[in-house]
Amino acid sequence: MSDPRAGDREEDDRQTPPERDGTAPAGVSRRVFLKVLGAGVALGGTGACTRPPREKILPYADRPPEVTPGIPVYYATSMVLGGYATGLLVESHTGRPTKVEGNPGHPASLGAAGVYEQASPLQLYDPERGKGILYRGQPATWDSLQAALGLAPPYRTRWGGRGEGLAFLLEPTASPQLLALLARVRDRLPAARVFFHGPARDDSAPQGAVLAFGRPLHPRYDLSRAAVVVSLDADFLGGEMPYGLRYARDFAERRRIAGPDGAMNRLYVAECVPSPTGALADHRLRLRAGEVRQAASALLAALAAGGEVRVPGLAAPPEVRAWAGAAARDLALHRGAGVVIAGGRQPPEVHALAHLLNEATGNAGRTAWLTEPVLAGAGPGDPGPTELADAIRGGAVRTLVVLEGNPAYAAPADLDLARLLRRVPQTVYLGLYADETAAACEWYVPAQHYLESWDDARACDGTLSLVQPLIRPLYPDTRTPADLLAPFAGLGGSTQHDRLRDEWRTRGGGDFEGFWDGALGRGFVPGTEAPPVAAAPRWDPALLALWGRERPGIELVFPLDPSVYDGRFANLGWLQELPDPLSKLTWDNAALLSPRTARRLGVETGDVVELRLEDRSLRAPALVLPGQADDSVALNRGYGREGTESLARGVGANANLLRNAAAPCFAGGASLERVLDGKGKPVRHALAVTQAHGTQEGRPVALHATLEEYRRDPEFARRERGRALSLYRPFDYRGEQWAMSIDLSLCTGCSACVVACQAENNVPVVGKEEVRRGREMHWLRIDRYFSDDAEDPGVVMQPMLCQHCEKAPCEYVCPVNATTHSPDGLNEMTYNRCVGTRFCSNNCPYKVRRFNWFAYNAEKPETERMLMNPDVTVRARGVMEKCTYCVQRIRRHQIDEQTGRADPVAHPLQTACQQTCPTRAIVFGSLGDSASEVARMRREPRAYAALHELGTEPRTRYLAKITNPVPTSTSAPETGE
Amino acid sequence: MRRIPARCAAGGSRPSHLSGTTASGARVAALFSRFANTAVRIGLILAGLVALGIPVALMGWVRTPFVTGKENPVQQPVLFDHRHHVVDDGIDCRYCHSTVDRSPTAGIPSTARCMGCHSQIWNSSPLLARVRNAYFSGEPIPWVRVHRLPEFVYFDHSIHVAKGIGCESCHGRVDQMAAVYQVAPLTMGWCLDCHRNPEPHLRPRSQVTAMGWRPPGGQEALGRVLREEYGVQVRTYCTTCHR
Repeated sequence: MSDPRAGDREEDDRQTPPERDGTAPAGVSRRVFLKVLGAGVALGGTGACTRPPREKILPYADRPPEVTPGIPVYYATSMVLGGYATGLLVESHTGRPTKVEGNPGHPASLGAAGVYEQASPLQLYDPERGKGILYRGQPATWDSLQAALGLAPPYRTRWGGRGEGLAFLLEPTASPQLLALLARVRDRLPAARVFFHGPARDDSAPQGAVLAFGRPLHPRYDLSRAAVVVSLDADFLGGEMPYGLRYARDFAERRRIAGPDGAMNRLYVAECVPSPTGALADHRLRLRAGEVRQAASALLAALAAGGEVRVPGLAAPPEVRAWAGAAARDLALHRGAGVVIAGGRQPPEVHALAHLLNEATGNAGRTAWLTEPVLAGAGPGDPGPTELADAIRGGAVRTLVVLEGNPAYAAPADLDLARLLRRVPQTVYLGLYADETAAACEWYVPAQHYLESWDDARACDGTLSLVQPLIRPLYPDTRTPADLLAPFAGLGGSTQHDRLRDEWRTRGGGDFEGFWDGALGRGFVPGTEAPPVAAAPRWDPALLALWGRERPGIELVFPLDPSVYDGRFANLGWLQELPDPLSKLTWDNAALLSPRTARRLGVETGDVVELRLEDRSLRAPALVLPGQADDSVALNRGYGREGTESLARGVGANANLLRNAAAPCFAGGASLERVLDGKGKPVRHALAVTQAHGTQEGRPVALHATLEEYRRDPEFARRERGRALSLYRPFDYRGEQWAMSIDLSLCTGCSACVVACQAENNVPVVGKEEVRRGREMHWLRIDRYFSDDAEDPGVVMQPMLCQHCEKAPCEYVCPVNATTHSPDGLNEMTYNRCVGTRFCSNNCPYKVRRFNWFAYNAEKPETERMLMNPDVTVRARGVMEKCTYCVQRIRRHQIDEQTGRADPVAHPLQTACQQTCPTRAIVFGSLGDSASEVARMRREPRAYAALHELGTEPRTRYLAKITNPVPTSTSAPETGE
Repeated sequence: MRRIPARCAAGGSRPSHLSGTTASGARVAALFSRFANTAVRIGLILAGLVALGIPVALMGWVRTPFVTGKENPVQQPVLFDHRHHVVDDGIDCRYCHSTVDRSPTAGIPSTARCMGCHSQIWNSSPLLARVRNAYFSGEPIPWVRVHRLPEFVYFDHSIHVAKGIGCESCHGRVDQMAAVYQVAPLTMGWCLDCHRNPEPHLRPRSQVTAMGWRPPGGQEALGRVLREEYGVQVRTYCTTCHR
């Protein structure tokens, strides 16, 4: 290695994270082990004496014409999260949905899917979903619930016939069907009240619009036309922001450069918690969440003063002045081609400032515009959980119907909703799991998964989207929110399908059947996006915030979790085991601290700390994360669940116990201290972090340069490319030669590819203990490297998967030829030959081979087995596995081409990771076609091979990350456009 | 650098009791007779033979028809006779196994396909009572699998049909079977025989389902022509079948 310190002992110790140990599991003694081993060998020998039983083949009694056994069918549907729909195509194998892909036609997806969408089929098959209706924990029936609610004859005997004392609690929704049902309910029962509770603080954007325009308008952005993007704590490249997949795509198309002469956009980010967006930023300003408003004010002041922050009251720190000054100069230089985005965590004032900034820079109406609100229930006038709590306290609620959302867990703790729900005489909860809210409610109705129900929704841009079932409900007693509302609206008798069609019949004009079939086929109705609305923001000096700490102490921030969201996905092993994009933490949440704050408070990673806010306190493990703002502690929501879900239960700390309704996303004035045990030693918590070491130690693994450096020296990666000396025969490049190119400039680390790979390739979940031993099974991981600055580092994300080396070190050491090379350049892994020596993994310099230490797939519940991809072997214990470049897709594609089974143009060959990548950072294809995208990217001067000096000649090539900060040589900022 | 324990590093003197004399020089009687050397040699050879023989025997064993299931007629829940349907009625294989040219699986016909004809003919035969019951109840008929490949093998019928491999090549003369049995061993070696050298098994696509078809001009010339025409490739690398 080039680094002389590489062999140093101290360095080695540092690279072995202390959290990961190799201790044996307790409970099995050597004696017992030998006994079982002996019995196993003896019995195993007798097994060969009998012939395996004959299998049965069960054909259809009458095969549906659209089903061909052996060939998957794709159906268009939509998944709703945060109220907005994302269009999907779902793969179905003889009636079993197995895999989700983005719908290329849907404006919110454009073919991409995020972490949550990719993991959603696992939730369908989750064996711990609610299966039957419960009344006080005892099995009950739909009819008895209807009777209890007075919805069976005789009708309208309850609630004074007008709905007095009747209340509904919904998640904010854009579903036309649900809104029509709500209108009917209000019509029939005018005194009934409807409350809304959303996972994110959906109402700060509409309230910000009220501040700016006087009415709740919905902001939209076109990042494909923005040369300068300023994010005010908006993680628009991460998974949680609505329309994030589309924003990521648009942003990436503007950022992708083909060579040193290309143009790139520039990204300014002011944020508190390190995020995928911050990882791609050219200028990242690290500040407390409560200071973003001040930074936005400074930006506005700088814009007014032509790039200088000179307004006397705005005594901003120098780094804020530099950031705001540069951003203001850039925005002014690119009038109409910039955009300022405010994040959902931020208060309404920041949203209003963003509107003002967009107006002042001529972006309003071009890259940033407004529509009428798409979501109902998130506006300033809509009653939320606070109003519901007041109504319950006032005794005004006698019957409460809660439709999804788990408010007993997810609502801020000061509302005390879990206890208040128990005070309502009659409560009904519809939810996917018998969770905390189900425990607090009298009735529990299991909810239907979106893959088994008919529904409609709107995307963030207003596009009308259809939810169609892929499978009949797994459990017959399950219901959708519309099913539960329908009897109140007097539509109790009709089926989901009929009800939806009746609701849609008013659209489509004359030929309804044609319209309906077209909408079903596409999954959405084109041309239904919300039209732009013209509005001019009002200037209000009260929006500006002056610099200076208004509340001393620590600030607490409560982000939605990039894996489990608000806790609704907490029972999905895929997501629990998905490393956080920045902290690489699995199976936990942790109080994130900046290194400086941690030093000041004497806290180390793994120490249990007590967080105090007002009169509430919570214990959580600490995790020191470079890039976190000083004196600010982030604790993700979605953990510390206490429902009946066994995977979610007891994992992490419940951040909602600290939140209050007035400031649900962040709050100042908190304190943090280490928890000490009786002997005065700090209490420790074992965290399962997949990458504890952050730096590259000066080695060229994930290369990075600025655009300025790239232009000055386009061949800066020259030492990491080209032919290496080798004793082995050169590769024969005839025919199709599979290869992958990954543009590190575009990788946000969002991890959608990791889950997509897991879903496509039947990759098992191993659990926290095994992750701590370094035995996670992900075929594709994302390595995150920090640059030198210990407090505020630059970040490079590097997806690391089997590199398919032409001279693969693993192949030379396999004693049984289980890993071999195909003539089309694949490093093949043949599970049935593997005897588990693990020599290959030892010899792999990229450490991408995974070993099945246990029979992870042996004891899968019946429903989860339905999720397995039938085109990929389900691996047994003792077998090595790794990325195959989705060889099952390659071979199927080749067969399709030769039999004419499918149209290769309409269904191009894509690996699972490539297909789902929101920014299209991953490109796969054949080098045999020199015009292919993958071959073109390989010829770029910044393309290089990881660990090139080893001479492995990998087929996976990386394109060095290029960032575009303001050039140091010139005074005038140019984005190169 | 690891430190070597002192007692190993120091070595040790040779123990005296291995020689034929005691320390005092007195001779002792031999412990083993002269035959012992021969016995040990014979024993070693036998042990070697056993060690070699067991794997060889097992490898042979798994190739026997008992294990491969070859030549073993399978009893089906319905007394279905391929001879009658193929020869007497002249029904093409693809009428029932309809997805063979477009799907990995050839397809077992649905009960509705059986009833397509048998609602008209033999519609009251007691032999078909099971089929009628299955059709009207919607319960599938549990046919017994004859050709079973391991789960880690991904065989695709459609590509074999497209490349001109006849049904007969793997399934034998189904038109002469009362109850279908497996004629090929379905071992990996058997698959590879054809994958290494496909030419002797190629036939025109029009003759794929024909039974007992013989190439008019000799297989050698035809194989070469068809291999060229259909683009038949020699595929012997692992991911051809294992994924």
